[in-house]
Parts: sequence; C-alpha cells; structure tokens
Amino acid sequence: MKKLIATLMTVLSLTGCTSFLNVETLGKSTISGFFADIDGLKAAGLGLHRLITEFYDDNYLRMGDLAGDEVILYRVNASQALQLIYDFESTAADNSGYPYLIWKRGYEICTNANNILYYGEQLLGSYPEEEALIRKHFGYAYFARALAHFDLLNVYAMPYDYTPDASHPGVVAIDYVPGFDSELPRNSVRDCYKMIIEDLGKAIDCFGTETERTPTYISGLACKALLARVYLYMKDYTQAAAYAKEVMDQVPLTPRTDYVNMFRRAQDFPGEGILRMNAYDSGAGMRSLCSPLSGQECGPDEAFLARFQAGDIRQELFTYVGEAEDGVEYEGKVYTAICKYLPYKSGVSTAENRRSDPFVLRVSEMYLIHAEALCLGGGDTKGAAEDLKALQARALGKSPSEISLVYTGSDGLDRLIQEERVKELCFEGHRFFDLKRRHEDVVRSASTTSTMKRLKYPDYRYVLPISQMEMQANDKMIQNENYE
Amino acid sequence: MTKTAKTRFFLTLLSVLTALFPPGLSAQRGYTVNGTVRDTEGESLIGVFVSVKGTKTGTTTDLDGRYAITLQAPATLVFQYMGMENQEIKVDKARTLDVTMKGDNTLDEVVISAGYGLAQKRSDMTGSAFQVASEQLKTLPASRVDNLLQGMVPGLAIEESTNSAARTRYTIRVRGDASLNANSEPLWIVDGVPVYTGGNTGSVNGTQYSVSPMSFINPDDIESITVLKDAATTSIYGADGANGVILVTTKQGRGDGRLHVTASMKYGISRVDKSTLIKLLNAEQWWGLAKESWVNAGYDLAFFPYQDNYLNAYSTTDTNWYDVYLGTGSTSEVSVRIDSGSDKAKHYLSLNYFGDDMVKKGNTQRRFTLRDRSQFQLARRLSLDLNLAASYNINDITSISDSYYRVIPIFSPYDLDGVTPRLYNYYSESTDSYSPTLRKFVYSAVPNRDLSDNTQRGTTLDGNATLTWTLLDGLKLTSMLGVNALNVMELIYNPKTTLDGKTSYEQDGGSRRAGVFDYTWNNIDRLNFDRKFGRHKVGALMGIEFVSSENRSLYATGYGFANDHIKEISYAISESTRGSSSASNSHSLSYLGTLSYSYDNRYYLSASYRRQGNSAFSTYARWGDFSSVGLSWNVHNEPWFHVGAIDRLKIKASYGNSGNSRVDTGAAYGTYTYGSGNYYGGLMGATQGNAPNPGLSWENTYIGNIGLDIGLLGNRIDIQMEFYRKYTKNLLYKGRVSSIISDGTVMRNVGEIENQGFEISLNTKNIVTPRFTWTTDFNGAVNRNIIRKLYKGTHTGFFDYVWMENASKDAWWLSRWAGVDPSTGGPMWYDVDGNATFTFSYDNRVLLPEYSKEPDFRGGMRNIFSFDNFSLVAFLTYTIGGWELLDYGQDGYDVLSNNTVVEDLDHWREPGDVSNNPKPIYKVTTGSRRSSTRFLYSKTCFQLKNLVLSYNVPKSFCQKVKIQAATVSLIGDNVFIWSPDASRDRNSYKTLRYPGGLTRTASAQLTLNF
Repeated sequence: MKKLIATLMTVLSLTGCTSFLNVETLGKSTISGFFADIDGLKAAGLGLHRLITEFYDDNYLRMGDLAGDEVILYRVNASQALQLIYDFESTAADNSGYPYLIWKRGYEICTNANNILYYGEQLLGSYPEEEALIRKHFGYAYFARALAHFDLLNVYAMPYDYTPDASHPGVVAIDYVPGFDSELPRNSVRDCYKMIIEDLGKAIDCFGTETERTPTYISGLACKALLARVYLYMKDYTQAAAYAKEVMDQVPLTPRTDYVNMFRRAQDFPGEGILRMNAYDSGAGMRSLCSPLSGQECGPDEAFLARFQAGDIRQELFTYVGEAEDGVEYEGKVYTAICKYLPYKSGVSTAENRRSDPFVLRVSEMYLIHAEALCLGGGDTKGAAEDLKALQARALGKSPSEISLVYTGSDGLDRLIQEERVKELCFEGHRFFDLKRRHEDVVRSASTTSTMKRLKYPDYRYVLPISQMEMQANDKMIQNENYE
Repeated sequence: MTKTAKTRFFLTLLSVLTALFPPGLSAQRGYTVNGTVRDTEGESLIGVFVSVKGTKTGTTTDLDGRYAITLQAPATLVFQYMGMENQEIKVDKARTLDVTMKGDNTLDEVVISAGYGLAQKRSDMTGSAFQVASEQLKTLPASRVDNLLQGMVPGLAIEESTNSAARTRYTIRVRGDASLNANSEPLWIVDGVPVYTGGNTGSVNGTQYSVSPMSFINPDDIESITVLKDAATTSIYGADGANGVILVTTKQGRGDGRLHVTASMKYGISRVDKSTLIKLLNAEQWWGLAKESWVNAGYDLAFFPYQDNYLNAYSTTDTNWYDVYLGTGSTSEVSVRIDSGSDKAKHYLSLNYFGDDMVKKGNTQRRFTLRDRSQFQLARRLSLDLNLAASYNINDITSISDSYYRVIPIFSPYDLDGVTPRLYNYYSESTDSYSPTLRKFVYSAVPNRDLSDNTQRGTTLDGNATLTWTLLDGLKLTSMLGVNALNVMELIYNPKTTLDGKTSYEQDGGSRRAGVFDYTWNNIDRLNFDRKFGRHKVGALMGIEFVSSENRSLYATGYGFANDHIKEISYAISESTRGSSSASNSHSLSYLGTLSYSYDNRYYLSASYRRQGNSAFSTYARWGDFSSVGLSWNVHNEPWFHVGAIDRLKIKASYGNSGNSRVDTGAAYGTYTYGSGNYYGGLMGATQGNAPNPGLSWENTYIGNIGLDIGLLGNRIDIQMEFYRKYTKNLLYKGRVSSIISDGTVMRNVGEIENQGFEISLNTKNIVTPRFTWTTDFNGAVNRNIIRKLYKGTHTGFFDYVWMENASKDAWWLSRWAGVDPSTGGPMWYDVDGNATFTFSYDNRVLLPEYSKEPDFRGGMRNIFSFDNFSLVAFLTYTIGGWELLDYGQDGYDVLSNNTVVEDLDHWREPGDVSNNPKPIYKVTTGSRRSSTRFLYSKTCFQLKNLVLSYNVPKSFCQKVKIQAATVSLIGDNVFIWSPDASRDRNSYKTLRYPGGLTRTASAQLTLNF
C-alpha cells in the first residue's frame, strides 16, 4: 500500500507542471508579444506618429502661440486651461491643465519611442532581411525622442544660454525604458541638448541614404531640419546655417499659387512640409480652437493683422468665408479667424478633406533659420537678406529682385527677420519660444484680453511649473523656481 | 453542570410548566408507570417533563429525579429535558421505567463544511466559519442567492449599490474592505467549483445592462451556505481567499431506500413601499418653486419656458412619475424535489421555476433550473458523485435610471392623445424671450419600456464529477473535475418610434446583439486522511488544484431597418453595422495541504498551507505562499471544569495569511493598444497601454482571529464572539507613477490597510415547552478600517473621499456646511480653518472621521415562535450609525428641468429667515448643491425583512389525503423599515436610500411532501 501511495504522489506532483501557468494572454497584446514580429514594430511606428500628431494638434502648438503676442483669446468660449496659459497664471496644482498635459504627452512620445528601441532590438536578429525597415523605425524613435525632449525643454526649462554653461535644470532625459522604481532626476539643459543632438545623429544614420521623402513621416531630412532649429536655439549659428541650407537645397518653397491651399487643402497640397503630421484620424484640436462657427476660442490680434502689407498672400489666411457646407446661416458670411487649420470643404465632408495637418517642420522656417544664423553668426547680412527676400517675394507675388529691404546693420536686419518670422510662422507654435530663446519680453497689444500685458524676460513664468502630480510621484523632481 | 445550579434553574421552570399543565388533567384510573430519570453520568435529573404523546397529559420529575404517571391505555411516553435529546418509549402496562437521557448535541452536531473534503463539527473548529442552513433560507425571496445572506452572517455586509442600474447590484464584504483597487468581493464556490460572479461590480462584462449571475442559482437547491472568514479557514483558498470565501453546498439524496417527493408552490404580490420613495414636488409645488427661482434670477415671467401649446398641456398636467414607473408585481415559484435511492445509489433531482414580474414595470425575471445529483457506491471502496445543474434565465429589462426623481411633474408620459409614448416636449430654453422649440424627451423611460426590446437570455451550466477511492480506513483519494459555464445573450432593439431608434440613417431602428461566454473549469486531486487513535485524532490533506477561467464577449450593432419587425443585424443598413469581440483568460495552479490534530476533544491544533501560482503575474512574482495555524481548547471537556451554568466553553485562536490576485491580466506584462485612437494616416497603429510591472504580485492579507464560544444553561444560550485583525500588505493599488514611466495610473503593490472588528452571534432558546417554543438568533458586527501606508505617503483624493495614511477609507471628505446666510439667503461653508465662507471650494474639504460610511454596528435578528402546528418567524436587520451622502435636490438651480425634493420648499425667503435651504435662483451657480456635510444622512435603520407564518397540516389529515406532510406559509418580505429621522412629509435616509423604493411582497406558499 505504501508503494501505491508513493506512486500516486509522484503522479500528482508530475501533473502539477508549472507550464500550466504559461498562458497566452487572450484579448490583449502584451508588450513582449506585440514586439515579437515586424507587424508590431510597424504598428508602433504608426502609433508614435499619431502621438506626435496629437501633441502638435493640441497642447504644444497652442502653448507656443497663446503665450505669445499675436493671439486674442475669446474668454467666453475659451477653456480655463487656455486662459491660464494666456494669462501666465499656471500653477503646479493645476493637474488637469497644460503643466500636466504637455509633460504627460511629451513623455508619452518618449515612452513609445524607447519601447521601439528597446524591444525592437531583438527583431534585428530574428528578421535580418528586414534590417532597413527596422532601422528606419529606430530612426523614427530617435527623432521622436529628440523632438519630445526639445519641446519639453522649451516649455519647462529656461533657454539654453540662461546660464553660461547651460547647467540650469532641463527636463528628465530619458533614453531607456524605466522601471517603476527608477530614479528620475532632472538633467541639465546642456545634457538634454547633448542627448537630442546625439539622437538626431543616430536617427540620420538609421535612415541612411534613403532619399524618398513623404512629409507625413519622419525622415532623415526632418532630422536635419530639426538639427537646424536645435542649433539655432543653442545659438550655434554655423551648424544651424549648415543644416538649414542642406534642407533648403533639397526642398523648394511652396509657390505663391499653392500657398493658401497648402494650409487649407492639406490632403492635396503637402507643399514644402518636411514633417507634417497627418491628422486624418485625429481629433481636431487646432481646428476646433479656431473655427468661428462653433465656439471660436481664439483669433488673430488686430495689431498683429496690421503688420501685413497690402497684397501679402498670408493675409488671406485670416479671413474665413462661410461655405455652403457650413449651413445656410453661415454661407457667405465673413469672419476674422485663423484659417491655417480650417480646411476648405468641398462637397461632402470626409475624414480626408477635413484634415488640418499641423506642421512640425517646413522649408520656410529653414529660410528664416538660415537668415538669422547668417545675420547673427558672421554678420553675413547679404546672404541673410536673400533668404528674407525669397519669402517676401512669394508672399507679395513679386520676384526677389523687386524686394528692397531697409535696415541698418545686422541688428536692423535681425529685426526684419523676426518680423518675417512672425508673419510666416504665426500660429504654428513658434512665437513664445522664439521670444524666450531670444530673451525678449512678451508685449501684448492694447486689444489683448489677457490680464498679462507685458512679461519681462527672464520672469519665472517663462517656464511652466512641473505639475503637482509629477512632483508627488517622483521623489527626485525639482520644481521650477517660484512655483514651489 | 452541577446539581445545585440545575436545581435552581429547574425549580423556576417547574412552576411555569406546572401552570401550563395542571396536574388535574392526569387520568385517575388505569395503570401507573414510574421510575427515575438520570443523565449519562448517573445523576438524577430534576424537572424532566414526562408527557403522553399526542395528549396534554404530563408530569415532571421531582427533586430525586423520580416520576409517576397514570395511564389508561397503551401510550407513548415522551421525556423532555433542556439540553437533552427527547426520548419516546412505548408503554402498555404498569412498570418501572428508568430512563437515561443523553446530552442533546444538535448544535455541535452541525457539520461545517470547509471545502476540499474538510468538514468539522463546530466544537472541533479552530477557525471562523459561519454556516447558514437551508431551513433559514427557504422562505426568503428566491430571486438571487447573494442577497439571501443579508443580516444573517455576522461580519458579512451586503449593501445595495445606490446607482440606478436596471437590476440592483450588491456589494458584499466579509470583514470589511481589504483592497483599494483589486476586487474585494468574496470568492463564491458552489460544490467545489469557483463561480463567475461578474467583475468588480458584480456585473457581467460584455452586456450593456447588468444582470447578476447570482440570480441564476436556485436557492431551493442549497443545503447550506458557509462563510469562511479567518485565516485558518481561508488560507487554504490561497489567492482569492483574503476577502472571505462563501461555500455553497447543494442538496443530495438521503439514500434511505424510500422515495421522497417534495412539491412546493409559492405566489406573491408585490408593491413598492411608498414610505421609502423620495418625496418630490407635485405640479402645484413645482410651479411655485420654478417661477420663484426664475424671478429670483431676474427673468421675466412672460418668458417662462413652459407655456401650453399644441403638444403640451403644462398647466393641467400633474404626473406622479412613480405611478408611471411602478405598479403591482408578482412572484411565482414552483418546485419539485425528488430524492430517492439506497446507500448504493442516491439520487436527487430538482426542478424549479421562478418568475418575478417586478414592481418596476417592464422588468421581469424567469428562471428555470434543473439539478441532478447522483451518488454511486461503485465498489466497497470506490464511489462516484455526479452533480449537474442547468439554469435558463430570461430577463426583460427596462432601465429607468434616474427618471424616477428627475422628470418634472408637468411633463406627461404620453402625448395628448394619451396613448403614444411621448418623445418630444415643446418649450423654450431662452431666458430673454419665449422662443419654444421641439426638444427630445430623453429622460422618459416610457417609450423604451413600452416599445423597445431589451432581453437577456442567460444559461448557466455547472457540474462536477468526483471519484473517491478509500485506500485504507480513513485514507481517501479524491479527484474532482468541475465546470462552470455562463452564457448570456443580450438582445436590444429600439424601434423607430423611440428616440434611441432614431438615427441619422434614412431608415431608423437600432439593434444590438451581444454575447458573453464565461468558462471556468477546475480539477482537484487530493488525499484526505482522518483517523482516531485512542484519544488522539489526526487529520491531513494533500492536494493539487488547477483552475482555468476564460471570459469572452462579442457584440454587433446596426441601424436602419426596413421595418421594426426584422430586428437582426443582417437587415440593418450595412455601413451602419459594427461589431467587436474581446477576451481574457487566466490559469492558476496550487499545491495545498492541511494537518490537524486533537487530543481527547480538548486540544485542537490545525495548520494549512497553499502555494499558488497565477498566470496573471509574470514569472518573477508568480507564486504566492499562504499558510495558517489555528488552536482551540474546549475548556468544558477538562475534568476539572465545573462551572454551574456553563455547558460549553471554547477558546480559539488562529493566524495566517491569504491573498488576492484579481487584477487585470495585462497589468503585469504591460500591453500595447490597437485602436482607432492610435491610427495614423488611416493605418492601424498601436501605442503602449499599460506599462509593464513585472514585479506585480499578490495582495497579502494577514488575519488574526480570537474566538470565544460559550454554551449556557444546558446550551439554551449559545454565544459566539470573535475579534479579528486583518492586515493587508502589498495592496494592489492603482496609483500614479511619474508620467515619464507611464501616463495615468498603474497597478502596483504598495500600501497597507488594516481592518479590525468584533462579531457576535447569540442564539437563545427563550421558551421551550412541548407546545410552545421561542428562539432568538441575533448577530452583530462592527468593522473599522485604517489605511496604514500608501505609495510614498501621498494621498489620493476622490470627489468626496480620500485615501490618506492613518485615516479610514470610509470617512467622508467634504466641505462643512455652515447653513444659509440669514441676511442674503446664500449658502455658507466653513473653510479649513473653521471660518465661514460664502464661496464653495474643493480646497475646503476636510476629512471627517466622525462621519464614516461604515456603520457602528450592524447585523440581524431572527425570532422563531412555534405553537403546536403554527410557527412564526420574524427576521429583522439593523444598521446603527454610519453616514451616507444623498442629494436629489436643486436649490432652484436646475429646477426648470429637474424635479426636486420637498425640502426645497423650506427655503430662505427674506432677510432674517433662518433656513437650511438657500434662496432658490435659476441657473445661478452658488455651489450650494456641491457635496458637503449638508447632505449627510445617518444610516441608522431597522428593517423587518421577512415575516413568515406557517402552519403544518396535522399528520392525521395528511394521512387521510395520502401525503406525508404539508405546510402552508404566509410570507411577507420587506415588511417594514424604520429609521429614527424619518418623517411623514420630509425626506430622510429611508426615502433617499432607494431611488426606486423598496419592494414589499406578500406571498403564500404550500409545500407538500409525498
């Protein structure tokens, strides 16, 4: 009988094989399962682009303009989150507003980028024939990580040259997949910029010699364009000019005839975009912000509109005429609005023709970077003026030779460049960050609805506070000055 | 028990009995039987009642235990004595009849099942388990199993969720809430198989409306329900035992060689208890308040939104929406049980139908169940037990949601023709002109109730097969395979004549078909050993258990039907159709063992251990170990123990741990989410969903339990008291981490929570005479919880409560109401420093430990009176203390679109008025209705849940009509509810607690045994 019991016990213990617990999880895609093949990697690449789209179509672009000097916020319609940005009244305790949202969305991009780099590595071994494709996705990830860090720095840190060695606090430079107990202190601005430049360098390597360019996807050219901007922010004018020039040489400016369509018929006129997010599937963050037909939250400031000369094609982007599809009560009515995000409706409204694709990088900006870098770098005012004339000529429908610029010295030209920057890149998320990198005050016009008429650089409000939620969850986090 | 104590007690009793049965009734002639009555130890018993069966003749033994009784014909003598078993002896001539009476151990003899073949007498237990027998359940409402236990088990709290789901949901907690984010519901096991009881909310995942799977079980098949509460009993359930385990054991055949047939019929009528309905404004009151609020806001009455028109006769309408939604319901139940077989083959078969036409019109439940249990003794040492149950359920649903109290009385449920369910009202929404338009009447549930289909067909199949092989005497090898399957089909169709059926498609009508498929199977293989060696008793169990569960659901929707008769999705406009499916699964594997030892029925020692792995956790943290020890001491069995009145004195203690693993299966591994929210350029993209937490593991609850078990006065008084402390570590907590790691909340093991409490159960036999008995079962419990540790000491604030270290999670976190400013009629609160403020701010919320959701004491009491063939059972539940936040008022703010409570009439009118209700102003935000202490109501209430009057038809009559026994019962459910602050014309906890009111039922039941 003892023998029998012993046999039974053996049978019992054998059946209790722990492999019973290795279950393929149903209905969910676990991270390791997801990255087990190329399809997962491709989906992650698309998802990453989507995250950038959301970030640009919403908080990041809005921040760049609402904190600037070209916008009127219509307080009746505007959400509280927008008002706080407009009035520079953000507090750390505002856990549902921009201090939290930009941080969260920026790092969401980093998390997804880091996953691609970390989990994608093993695919190189299992799919050697797909190496080019895998590397391209690594390129996406490096670029996205660099872009997110750069944008986060713009929002949460003082400019690069705030301290002589850029040792002031930046953001958390995250180039790995952190665990729940990882310590996450802020890195210096210098270290963050270093990582950004390295990431963009790696991304360029990943894209290799591929020259095919679809503006709605991250590309090697986008890396160079972003490098031009990054170096401009670092006031490394030589590098900025070099990278900007490289891009300018490859992609022409959108001609005047297509200029308005470039914004308002995104699907048919990708134009001079180097990276322009495809908003086909996205919500309509900027569109709903600007539409005069349904609770318009902001529009162009009158003083800003007065800066345009007669005949400037860019003025057309501030007059909205109600279309048949808008309904009888709107048809033909004229509104002042920011039309860069208001697509023309042609016939039946579809997801395709409703697109209001936000630009991340476009060639006009490269001309402005190039001009500023030449002007301030080596005092090459002639070269800089050429860039400026190219933009003005397009805007006014003239040839560059017909444009005459009146200025004294490089300072004078610099002012013209900035003036052109405002007109060209308005409402594309640049203005406030331009003022900040150039140590300029935010000066609102008399018609502003903001309680903040003038913000003097370097006021502490040039950066947003780190949200309380992050402060609580992260021991190592240090709050920005004066927000404690 | 000493002789003197007994003497004292019974001399008292004697006088009572003598009064009831005067000696004059004894016959004068015939033969005499006499003798002495002793107990098993030879001591004579005083005051033993000796009666002639079937008559009122009787006598009692004297101080020496002697009796004498004179009889006229052959008779049966019945000897009765408290705490002793009755004895019946036939006599036909004069003789000396000495009788030895044995102790009545009926209380002790109840065998408490603890699962895995472990069954113990109460006197042998070291842990805490409470068993409810079928006898206590049989007259309770049969609609669902979980609600049966309300007020019956100390430490088991069952509360109705206040949300307005189509079917009431209950939250069930055993000894408090030991989790923050994981499921805190107890584990339900029916005949050894874990049952799917729905997700966190007790609802089936995958259907739009929730019908609890606990309503699919036929309570009539239940032999007993055991609630396991401490570590000694729950740690053997390991992973999911920390929140208590509820074991349901179903009936089986007696196998006495006879055929038993029991048929029972029950029919009841139900109405809502109107005293539990929220007291709302009628049309006249509403007009007054609405106009006043309108004028107070500075608007012109000429622009008042509601003016009579072609569609609405506002001025003459006064709808009581309760009358619209509530009516007379009925329940009916028919059941047949057949019990047959011999000791070789026992068989039990039951068929049951239960139907409930609820008082909420448009809601019905139909249940058909079948249970078949066969037990075979295949060979001398081999037996097989097959148990199969099927249940088919049809539920028709009308979700009334908040329409009870929300819709204003000047709207009518039907159009002016009086028959067409109203879809639109015509009124203005402007404040500066009267510009009426057609508005959708979305808050009326009448069109959907009268015209739409909303049906769920649920099928459950559970069964298990158990093979037992007795290897040696006392050593058994058992293998069980159990299955629990649930399948629900949800069928919803909204025709064109309803708002939900009107879509943007050319042809209207909307259809939804959903299916839910949940399967659980388990296999337990175990060796049980039980042997007695002289005074030593040894028990052991070794086993292994596999559990697999899988939940799947799918649905399809479509719009645009040619007519309202073809409701299937295939007829919908094809571009409108959508469909999806989802699934989740998990496996668990456990090794388990117990050891028990007792010496001479005095000292008991038990230990248990379970090692369990769960696939929901990643390999790093997959396994959990759970163990316990228990000790008990039957002091009354010590030879030296001689305390007069105490018959039983047992002290027990246990300590150990059990776990909780019920988390989302993706939490440990991390997930990527595909979905339209991640698409890019029309292509399918994905982004990270959950961040992985490879260290995620069990919640671990350590439970210490001390119990005292006392039997007094011949066990006429039975007291059980228990103190416990539950300390949960590694709480599964959905908390924030840095957004750099993951956006949103992540599930991780942080935090500690403590629950401690006291439970008492008191059973007394107050009066026991041959014809009349009165017994009382009382129980009560108190539980307190305190969060001891949270992630990095941070607190997580919710709307009106907060998780904070060293604070109870049950305490309210509210702004303190300071009343109404007598000069302006505006609301006031106290700020954090205690100063009055006129503006509401969430920053002024303070933690209010004195206002806790958890009552001070709660439980139930059952009184059973029986007199001859009649019995009366009264079951009362009570809650003392505790506070609930309840608000259905408006203060004029939204009174034009929502009806409000009658208190709003008592508002401030002019400077100097002292009122608790501010000046009503239409659409002017004063914050007065924001959550504050103004809306806290004491939960103290007493409820007569169940009142049953039964009559056992006399045997003689039964024999005439050739049946064995028959019982007729009149049953009342939710007979009466009382709360101290209730008043006739104003609201209180009693009226606000149940938005749709409490259903009161009166039924009649006939049970026949053949």
